[in-house]
Formats: sequence, structure tokens, C-alpha cells
Amino acid sequence: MPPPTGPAGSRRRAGPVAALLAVGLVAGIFLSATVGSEWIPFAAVLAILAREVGLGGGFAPCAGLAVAPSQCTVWTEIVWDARMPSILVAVFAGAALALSGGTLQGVFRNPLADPYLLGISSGAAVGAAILLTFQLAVADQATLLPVFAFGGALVPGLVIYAAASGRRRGPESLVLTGVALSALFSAVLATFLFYNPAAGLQLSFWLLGNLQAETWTDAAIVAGVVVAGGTLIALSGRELNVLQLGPAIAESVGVEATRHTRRLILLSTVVTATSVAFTGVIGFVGLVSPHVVRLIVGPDYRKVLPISALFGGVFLLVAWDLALRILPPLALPVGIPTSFVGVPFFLYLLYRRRPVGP
Amino acid sequence: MSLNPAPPSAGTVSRTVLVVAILVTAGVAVAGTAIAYDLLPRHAGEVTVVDDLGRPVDAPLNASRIVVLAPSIMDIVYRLGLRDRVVGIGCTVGEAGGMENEYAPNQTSLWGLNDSLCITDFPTLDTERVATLQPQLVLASTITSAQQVQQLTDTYGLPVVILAPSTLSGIVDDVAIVAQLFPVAAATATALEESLDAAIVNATNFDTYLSNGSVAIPTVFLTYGFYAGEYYTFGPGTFGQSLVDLAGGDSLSAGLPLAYEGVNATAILADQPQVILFGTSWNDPYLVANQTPSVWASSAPYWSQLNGSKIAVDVTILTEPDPTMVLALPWYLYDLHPTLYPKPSGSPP
Repeated sequence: MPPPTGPAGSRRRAGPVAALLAVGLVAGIFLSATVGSEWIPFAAVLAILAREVGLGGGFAPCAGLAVAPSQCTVWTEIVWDARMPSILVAVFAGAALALSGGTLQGVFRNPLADPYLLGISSGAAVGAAILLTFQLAVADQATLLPVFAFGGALVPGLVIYAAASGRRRGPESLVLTGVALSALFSAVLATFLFYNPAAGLQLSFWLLGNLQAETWTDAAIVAGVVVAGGTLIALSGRELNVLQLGPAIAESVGVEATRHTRRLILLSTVVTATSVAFTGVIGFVGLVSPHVVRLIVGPDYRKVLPISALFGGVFLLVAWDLALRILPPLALPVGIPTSFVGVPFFLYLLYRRRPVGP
Repeated sequence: MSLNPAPPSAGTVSRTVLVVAILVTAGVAVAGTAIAYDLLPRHAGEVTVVDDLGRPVDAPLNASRIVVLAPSIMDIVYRLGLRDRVVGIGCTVGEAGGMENEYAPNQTSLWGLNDSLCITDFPTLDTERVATLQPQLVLASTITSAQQVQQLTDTYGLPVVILAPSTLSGIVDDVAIVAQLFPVAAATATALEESLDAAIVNATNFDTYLSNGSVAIPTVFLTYGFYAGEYYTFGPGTFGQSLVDLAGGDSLSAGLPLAYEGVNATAILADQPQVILFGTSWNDPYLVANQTPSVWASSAPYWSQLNGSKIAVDVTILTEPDPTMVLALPWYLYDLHPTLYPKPSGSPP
């Protein structure tokens, strides 16, 4: 039996859609650099970016503008050292969440599976909450917050990874394990908030996602892990396609279901945990992105996974721009626009045409 | 040719684990390198101060442009004659009168503050605005998140000194830290430290007198607001506790598990504190709606059933750990011991 590949029309759309998203992503990165609480002329932003990416020293960001050289230096710091790391973290975290969501939906053959449902995000939230609620290592909180969140996110992922080892553990059992862990972590989180309401504000910002204070180090870590782990995931499209036919058929065609399931759960956990550690909990991207892509290009995971990554990157980048523009100079938690924009868009796509897969 | 692909080798999982381990190790290595870079010595000619979080901070001496992100720090800056160097202050946005919600009218007029100085600092700090003002020094409290302090330091290269005292003596230490940063204000700082030390010594001597005699120490509950049936107070390890201790009171909040938290109204009713210090404001637009004696009387749970002395204190003196709080110690001593401590002349600072 052939694995699902979708209708021919969908297959033909994959290339143009991927190209469109890639172009949109690059354009979005440049345009997003102009968005922030401080107004910086568009031409200056482009010149700063061109100079910093090595297109030559001929780009003078403040040429023709009546600003002091020191102000120009500050603009460079804002655009290149503050905004660009946040933009790149948004792109790679969006890609990670979308990839992870698509993978988990395929592994569990469940359209509701995503990092949030399986407790990975809740685990990260509990990790962060431990640090913030009990005011541990106050002087080093900025460094330790991602570490605690990463550790918290690994817990549910590894529990599900271990549970997947049992040959009689079906996808339903694994999903329900994740749901149970998620509920448990939510209860723990609520207890922490009840225990120390004063920590609630800082924690609530983190729980809804915050990209405001990213650094180049953050961006490098997220990008490195997402590119490496995401590539391994994206190359597993064929195995995921076969897994949709059930473990027995998958085994009969040489795809070891348990081995691939565990491997994909582990990779999804690591890329998600890394992203969430630096961004906080961002819902909806991991759930919606694969569905939207599937509606456009069909159910073939060889196409769904890489295109979902592109879509997730664009989606989170747009959401971050909106978060900065809705109530300036406040930067809203990015989880707010992802839901406000994503839900209507998703419902529109869902009811406009019959959904496909997973 | 077989239609079946070759089965994956037995080492697939272990290779995956290896890749994951390498990724994690690489991440830790990158982070470690960045941290190590941060620990490298900075430019010569700067002063290094240790702030209230125990962080060594390199900062220029006598910075000509400073950003102040808490009213309590502004009090120190003003008293040391450094107001003219302030190019930005933290203000709340999202509500009408962002500055008025952080600074009482008497403070804005005394310190010469206006909206043009405002930098949004709540719920998050507008770091781009801070950078655009090109300060040489940022003085912040722990209200500013650790991530944003790190961004100011790492991304914009701005020295950020955290001043968040947990005792009234810590307020004197903060004055000394600011004096280290501004030798130009050394003489003023020394005089201020002496007056603050004198106020603390005076209170300590009175406390010693109380503990040696047969005078009963009153139980005190300090509260600066109520919400959802709970009175908010200062727990152990806070300047609020230090204030009640020095004022000769036995704080009912000393045994709370957290530094800042709400206490169930029924618990306070059961304890029946002999003195209730509660924060009030007749000026601040938000606090007027929430914290006047009449609002406390009408809205605070079980307020009428609390039998102890209820003493209204301007919320800025009650909640901002600054020199004004220390200089107000005689008034607190009188409030808690009206028959033993002489009534101070004039009005609180």
C-alpha cells in the first residue's frame, strides 16, 4: 500500500508554496527589523543590516540624516544587537514548534498533538516557575531561566520517550500520558502561583511568550539546535508517511515503528525544549502550522515538515511584529497575537475546504 | 530489487542520542563562552561597585547621564544633588498618568519630574528607549526583570546597578554605593549617611531600652493594600520587616514563608494585631480609588472588627525603601509607643 501523498494538485503546490514562504521569511526578517518602540528610518535600518551582514562598508546608516554619530551607534545596537536576535529566535522557535507539532501529530496519528498538549511546554513553565516563584539565584536569573525551563521541558518528553519503548504502548496511550502530565504540570504551576502571587506577573509574561530580551547567544543556541535537530526531523518524512499506515504495515516495509517513534519524540522534545527555554510558552504555532500546510500541500510528511517549519517561522515572526505594534511602546506577550490571528485564520481554512489527514 | 527499504541499522537510536547530546553540549559551550566573555575585565578608569544582588558592576565615575528606574532610588539621587544628571525615569503605561502612578505629586514637584522623562518600565521595561537616551549609568530595582537587565548590559553595554535594600541599614549602604559612583557628591553623601545612621542608632537604642524594661512590645501588622480578601504585607527578609523591628514592634508577618505576599483576612482577625500600619494616599489617581482611610474602612475585609490602633501612613513612606523611610523612623517610634517616645516636631520627611 503506498503511503499518503495527497492529490496531484496538492503535490504541485508544494514547490511554489515553499518558495513563497522562503521569500516571505527573508522579506519579513528585514521588515521586522524596522519594528520597535523607537522609530528608526527605514533606509537607516536597511543600511545597518546591509553593513552588518558584510555587504560592504559603503552603507552609511545615517547618511543624509540629521542625527549625531552617537545616536547612529545606538540605532545600530538597537537594530543589530537587540532586534535581530529577537527576530531570529522568533523564526527558529516558530520553525521548531511547527516541526515538532507536525512530527508529533504524525507519530501519534492525532491531529490535536502538539508540544503543548503533550506537556512539554507545561514542563518548561514549571521549570521557569520554580526559579521565579522561589526567587532562586536572583543575580543569575537571566542565565538560569532558560536552563530551568529546558530541564522542565525535558521531563515530560523523556517520560513519553520512555513510555514509547513498550511495544504494547499505542499512540493513544502516549498521547494520554502527555495529557496527564500536562494536567499535572498545570496543577503544579497553579500551586506555585497561589504560593507566590507576587511572582505571577513576571511568570505570566513568560507563560505567554516573550522575545523581548533575546541576545545573539540565545539566537545562536536556538538556531544551532533547531537547524541540526530540525534537519534530522525533516528527513524523517518518509518514515512518518509509512507510520500513518500503522505499526504492523510499517514493520512489514522495513520501518521499525518503535525505534522511529522514540527517535522522533526525542528530537521533537529537544528542539521544542530549546525553543521554549528562550521564548517562554507559545501556544498554537505547533498545532496550527502543520494543519495549514497540510491543507495546502497535502498530507505527505516529506513536504509537510519542511514547509511547516517555514510557515511556523513566518507565523511567529508576524505575531512578534504585531505584539510590538498593538500597544506601543509595550511589547505584548507574543502568545496573544498567535492566538488572536491564528485561530480565525485556522478556522477559516478549516471550514473553507475539507481537511486532509494527518 | 526489493520493494522493501533496508531496515535501519541497530545503531539508529544511539546515534540520535549522540546527536542530541552533542547539540546540548554545544549549547552549553556557547553559553559558557558568552558568560566567560562577560567576566573579562572592562575598561580601566571606571569604578567597580557591588550592587544589592552581589554583582560587581563597572561604571564610569560621575556619570553625566543617568536613568533611574525606581522612586526610592530617585530619592537618593535627589538628596545627593544629582537630579540634573537624570535623563530618564521609569513610568507605568497602560493607565492614564503613567508617571503619577509611580511618583506621588509631592515627589514630582520636589524632584522636578515631568512626562518627557518617562520610560515605560511596567509591566516590561522599554529597553530601546533607555538605549536611545544614551545614559552612562542605569540605576534599577528588582522590579526590572533579570532578562532586561542583562539586555541593557550585554546588548547596549550599559552599566546597571541594582539597588534593592532588604533592611533599613541597606538603604544607608545604597547611599554609599551611589557615593562610590559619584565622588562629586561624596560630601553630601557622607552627611546623609551620618543622619541616616543617627536615625537608625536612635531607634536601636530605643529598642534596647524596650527590651531591657518591662514594656510590652506591640504586635504590628503592616499592610499596603488588599486584594481578593487578602492584606498584602512585607514578609521576612524585607525592608518592611526591618522597619517594624526598628520601630519597636513585633511584626506578625515575620513568620510568613515569602517576602511579599497576601495574608488571609481571617488570619489577621484571629491575630488581632495591636497596631495596624496601613498605607494611604490622597493624591495618586489609582491609590485614591483604593487606599484612603475611608476606602480601607469600607472595603478592607473585617476592618471594623480589627481592634488595634489603625495608623495611616503615606504609602510612599511605607513602601519605598529610601532615605525618607529611615528619616521617618521617629514618627514610626512615636506611632507604636505614643506614651514612651516623644512626639517628633514638624511633619514626616
